[in-house]
Amino acid sequence: MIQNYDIIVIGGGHAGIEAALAAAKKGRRTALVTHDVSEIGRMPCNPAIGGLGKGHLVREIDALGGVMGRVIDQTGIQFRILNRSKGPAVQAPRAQADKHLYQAAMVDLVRACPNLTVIEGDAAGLFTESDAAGQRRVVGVALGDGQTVGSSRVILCAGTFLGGLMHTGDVSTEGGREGAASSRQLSGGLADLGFELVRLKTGTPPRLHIDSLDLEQLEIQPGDPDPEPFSVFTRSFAPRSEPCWIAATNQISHDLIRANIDRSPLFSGTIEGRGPRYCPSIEDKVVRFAERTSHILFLEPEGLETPEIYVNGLSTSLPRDIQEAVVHAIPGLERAEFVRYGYAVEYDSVPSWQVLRTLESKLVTGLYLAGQILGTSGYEEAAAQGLVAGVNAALSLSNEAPLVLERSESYIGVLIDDLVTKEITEPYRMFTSRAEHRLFLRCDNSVRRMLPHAERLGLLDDAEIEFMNERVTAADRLMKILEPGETGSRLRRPEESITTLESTSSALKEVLAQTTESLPPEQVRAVRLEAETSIKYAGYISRQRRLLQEQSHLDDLEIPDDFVYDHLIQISSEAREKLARVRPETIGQASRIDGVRTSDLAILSVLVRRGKIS
Amino acid sequence: MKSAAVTIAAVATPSGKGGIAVVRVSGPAALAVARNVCDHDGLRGEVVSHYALVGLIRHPEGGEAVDQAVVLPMIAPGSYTGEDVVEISCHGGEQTARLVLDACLSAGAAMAGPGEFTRRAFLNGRLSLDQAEAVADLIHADDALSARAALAQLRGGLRRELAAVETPLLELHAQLEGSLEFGDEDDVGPDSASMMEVFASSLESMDTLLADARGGRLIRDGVQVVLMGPPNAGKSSLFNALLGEQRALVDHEAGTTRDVVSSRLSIEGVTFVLHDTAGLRDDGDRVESAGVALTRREAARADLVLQIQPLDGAPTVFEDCCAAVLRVGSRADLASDMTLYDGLDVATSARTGEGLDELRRLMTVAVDAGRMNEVARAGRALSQRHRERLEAARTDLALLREQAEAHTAVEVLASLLSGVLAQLGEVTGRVYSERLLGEVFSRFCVGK
Repeated sequence: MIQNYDIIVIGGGHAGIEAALAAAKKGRRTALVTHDVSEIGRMPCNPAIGGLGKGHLVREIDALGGVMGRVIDQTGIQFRILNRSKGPAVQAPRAQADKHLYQAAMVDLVRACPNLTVIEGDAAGLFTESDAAGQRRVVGVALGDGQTVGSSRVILCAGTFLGGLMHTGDVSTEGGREGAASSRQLSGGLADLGFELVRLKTGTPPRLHIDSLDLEQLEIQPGDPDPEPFSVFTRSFAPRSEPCWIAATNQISHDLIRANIDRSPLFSGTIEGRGPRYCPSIEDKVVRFAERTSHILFLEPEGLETPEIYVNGLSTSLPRDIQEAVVHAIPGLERAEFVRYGYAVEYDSVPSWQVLRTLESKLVTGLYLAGQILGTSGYEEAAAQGLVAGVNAALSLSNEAPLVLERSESYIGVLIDDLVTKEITEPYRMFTSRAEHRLFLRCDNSVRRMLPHAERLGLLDDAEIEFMNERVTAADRLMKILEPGETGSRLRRPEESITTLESTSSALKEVLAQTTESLPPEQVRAVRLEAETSIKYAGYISRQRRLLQEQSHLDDLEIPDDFVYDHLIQISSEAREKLARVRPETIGQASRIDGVRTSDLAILSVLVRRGKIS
Repeated sequence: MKSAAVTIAAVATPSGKGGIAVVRVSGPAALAVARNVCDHDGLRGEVVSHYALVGLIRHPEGGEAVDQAVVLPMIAPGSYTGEDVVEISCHGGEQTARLVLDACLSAGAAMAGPGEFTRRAFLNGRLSLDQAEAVADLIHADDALSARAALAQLRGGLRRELAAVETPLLELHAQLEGSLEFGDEDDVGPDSASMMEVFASSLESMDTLLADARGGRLIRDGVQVVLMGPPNAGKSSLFNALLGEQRALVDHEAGTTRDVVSSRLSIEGVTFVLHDTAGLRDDGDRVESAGVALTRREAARADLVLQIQPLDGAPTVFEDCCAAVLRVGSRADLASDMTLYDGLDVATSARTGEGLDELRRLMTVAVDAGRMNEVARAGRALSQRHRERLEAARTDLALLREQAEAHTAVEVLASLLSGVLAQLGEVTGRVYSERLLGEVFSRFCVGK
């Protein structure tokens, strides 16, 4: 071993960045291994951060001390709150990024971070040792150039690079994304250690040159006139507001796709991996929704200095000539020039039942996995896992209690609980409907929800923690004014809001203005929304909690690590197999595994309790 | 699993009735137990499942012959409990069944606890929760109608009924979620009118199920019938005439019946529980006035009240009561002037039997026996727990409709709807809750 670090992070994507920065901020000597330092924080697909469920994740990452929210606030070129016409629990921020600025800002953050060293190179394998009981633990990482780096904590954030294979038409190229090599060796190494791997697929649409588009023919989609930042720590927020455009496919494009469907590797059988149902390729959409004569496309700029336009909604692996014909059939895109063609990428992922809620692998002590390698999709999902893995690797070194967030307090908790219990059969994307406590898990109260954890973790400085406390107090003060008497009962009506109350009482308006005076202007809307929604939803939230508690009072019953499932002949063989494989930590987790039935749980809980007594 | 190692046995048929009694043995040693008590070639070597044998049952100690019986082995998992099961059908009478059971216990089986067979069946995944409850009802059933309701539920009748309520709500839930997740991209939300339609039709179906639940109680517990009338009106005579046996003490001195005397009677498959009561007269001795108070309480709880008017006495003014009422004239054979009595439904005589068939017919009409039969066939005879859950779901759904009318945010509607679906799910056991399991299993008696 030539060098030793406390923690090694493999991969400089969105998971790797948060993992490495969190570990280093915890005071651990950390190394980030990446192919190319300038590629840190690259957005290989959509030039955007946030959206429903995802924006919720970013707000939580931000309140815990992650960087994704701050960086998009600095480098975004269009900000919108989605679902403004719907309820506050399903509203979430989304921003178009200047992907080059975003990447550059991430590179700067990583370079400037104390305790953090970037190692440019290819991670070729893991070194492990076995103890007397046969439990493996990680001891280091082998680099492609033959060097070795020692560490007892390794966080693997390899994204789509494990056994990555890219497809466009009948052309297949090895690689994790365009212009980047894949890591075949590492994938084999994981299989040798006993990890189960599955093939997943995802795709990306073509990029068009902005000067070749007839923008006059397209509908403009502007940003919000009063943009709101992701991060509660962003000040003097005055971002650019660049437009996006809306186009639509038509019957001619659909006919072209149908006529050439056998040239799509997705349909010809060349691709074996499973793709996401929620983000289908255009060939999938045309086949599955045969009755539709048109699909909507969003044209999104990739940055201020680049001419590339991302065609959101046109993910495809069709051959280049067909991609061109399909695009040229669309009004406004008749003369579009392709900067890059769409492609599908297939990769190895490690089914996520193989990790604990800390994201440490069950098989190898000290080895953590985070991000797309665990079968998720999306920068935000990856960043959330990276943060949790980085923090937990650091906490484990000092024998501190890990960060395990609950489903009832955060989207991060929902994400990780789903990962460790659900059979992931397609890349996992966050949706608000995955959160049974959705009315409580809102973007407006992320600070309140994360504050106790943020205070313990220490990733934020004293001033930032103090501000979080101030923000919570400000919302409390507003609620104290609004909740009692007539004001409160009016506010609980669906058609009323703080704004409608203020329009009939200038005295109230003044009192409320004074209460939020000390807050930064960017935070006023969110704090008012938090107070308003907390009052409006208090009844619904407690009702929902009661119902969920009734259903799940055994959720916390822990199943011993060494529990043997093989002799459980009373339960279905499907359930036995899944339980034995997933090895749930609690009855609650067991109940969320697909294929485990009520009767199976009844037996399991009886046996677990009997074991505890004897 | 430790409990599975124990082989259990019990008499599976109710005590005191029937020509045949079944002793059930379940567990890994069931076949060994059978071999120990019955020396039959078919029980040696490879035993054929579900193939009945006739053999002599002997006590393993001493070898005395107990009974000639039908022995039916069922090999796991193709049995009621999912374990190896042997059922021994012996000649009726409690005594024989007890001797056969004794023989099985001496042969190594342990006495089954209450509900243990069904508990094992449930834990082995052989029954869904509502099916397990139906089994409990089947045990409590003591007439044809009740057994039919229990059977229909066992075959998934209730599940079908609930699915009819649940499916449109599940679809609506999916639509609401879709409109929340993809609202900005596409027009996928349900319109308000179709949402209201789903609420209205689901509420209606729930109401039907709940109304039938009353029928379910009548099927399970029997129709409670209280006989009321002035002292010495001939209530006990009529009571006995209906039952066809001397059940109540009959005396010509007024005020003989001081306690409530009850007996069960089956008419057209419906069980009626007749309660003969003390005469309604406030000036009797103290013991009797206690009886009168009891009568009033019984009448308030009754499903049907028979107001008995002696046709040889003065017209009686009856107190109002809320249940269905039949006004029955008694002692028609002694009647002098029938025009004295208004509003009589039927005139009867316990002595001559006059009017008794008509009274029986009127009783089945009064409780709508036809409807009860229909309910029973459809398997909608809901248990107490089903009824409570369904009522809770109905309350939540009504609240949801109110909120939808008030244009509450869709995310709140979706949350309320998932609550409704969770309540419905508990009826079919889809949602796990141990409290629920405890409730279900506490109701099983030995043998099932």
